[in-house]
Amino acid sequence: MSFETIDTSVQALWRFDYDSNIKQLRDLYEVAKKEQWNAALDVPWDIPTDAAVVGDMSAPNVEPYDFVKALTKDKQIEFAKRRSAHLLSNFLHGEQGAMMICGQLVEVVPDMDGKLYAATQVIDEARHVEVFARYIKRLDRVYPLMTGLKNLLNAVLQADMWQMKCIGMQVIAESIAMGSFKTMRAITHDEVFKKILELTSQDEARHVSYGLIYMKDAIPKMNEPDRDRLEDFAFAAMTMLATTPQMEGGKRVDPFEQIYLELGIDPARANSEIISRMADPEFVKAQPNPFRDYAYPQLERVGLITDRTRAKYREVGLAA
Amino acid sequence: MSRRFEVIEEECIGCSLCSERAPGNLEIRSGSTTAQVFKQPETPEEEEACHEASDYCPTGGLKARSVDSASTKPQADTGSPALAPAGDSKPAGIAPMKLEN
Ligand code: SF4
Ligand SMILES: [Fe+2]
Ligand SMILES: [Fe+2]
Repeated sequence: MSFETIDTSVQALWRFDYDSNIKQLRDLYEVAKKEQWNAALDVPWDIPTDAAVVGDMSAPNVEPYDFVKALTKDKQIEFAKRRSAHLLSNFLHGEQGAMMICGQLVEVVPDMDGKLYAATQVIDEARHVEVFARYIKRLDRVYPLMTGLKNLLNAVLQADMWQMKCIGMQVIAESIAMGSFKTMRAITHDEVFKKILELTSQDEARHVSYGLIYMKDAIPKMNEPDRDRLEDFAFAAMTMLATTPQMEGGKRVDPFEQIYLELGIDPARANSEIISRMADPEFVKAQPNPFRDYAYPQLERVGLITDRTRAKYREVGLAA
Repeated sequence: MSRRFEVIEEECIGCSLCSERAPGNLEIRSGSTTAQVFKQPETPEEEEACHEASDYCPTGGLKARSVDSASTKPQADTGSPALAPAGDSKPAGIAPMKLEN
């Protein structure tokens, strides 16, 4: 049994008027009810997964590294499979975080339409936990939650404003998930995985749309100090996820070290090659960057990138 | 001032939220993975539905642009420069333009 706890406290809000007051959210709730699927029945689990066609989800558009090319064909496939399992493990943990945060949204959001819709998202995220946990077993094992993602999910779980929960989860995390699933769909040739990504993307799109609808409605109604806090929270959430190094026992560690060692790859060689590629700005620019490409534009759309915060995003390379 | 709508294929993930909101104007044809504007809005209701679909498109892939209403005529979609999602907090900065038929 493996678990840990954090203390959260939310202010649950009762609504006693049950009529719709944000029509777009009510419409989205109707769509969500219609689009439910069953993780056990709607994925073709009877089709076996051929490891050779899964692809390396962690390395889109990347000419294979020399340390990978030096491996035998079988080991290259194994490497891709394990790195994919590592990445998908973090999506899996993220799905669990999303399920818990959405449970909080049901309690804290001030509108009945917002509560009803968030309730549908709890079951969406439950399905995502189910499919990713099941699929990862075909590849490898579940790897631990990365430090940056854990910090973000805990910050959202502990946030004291409902708008922070909505921005952190629905606008930032969901946009990144939606963008990453799109990238993965283009890489993989595994039919089962493709279907999982198709179904989950459909759900994630609604989750992002909820964030856009709700925040476009709520942000203009906020007072200035709260708005400033929300802007700062958005920036902190983005940097937490994008730039926090992997830590274990208070020490900085390489998240892939275990995989390198198990496959006979020298971690120092692998890292020096990766670092030298990352030093090339053209290479970095050509890589899909879900923070820059998906989350930042959404923050702009809801009006959270302001003269006060724009430069900070540019400084850390997260501005589109 | 009315608007013309366009789906940027590379940005669309085919989630169908836009065709749910504006079924009279947007659709995902069977076999296609992206949405299409099959008819530009012709009534204020359709315009409003398309505007909303664009505003809440999760990827920002459904774009709107203002057109000079005097010269607006429905026409097949073509590629277009300088687009921004309708109703965004950032002004789209698009000059009124004439469409040729
Ligand atoms: S809502 Fe946006 S992403 Fe979804 S199908 Fe329509 S254009 Fe594509
Ligand atoms: Fe999810
Ligand atoms: Fe989600």
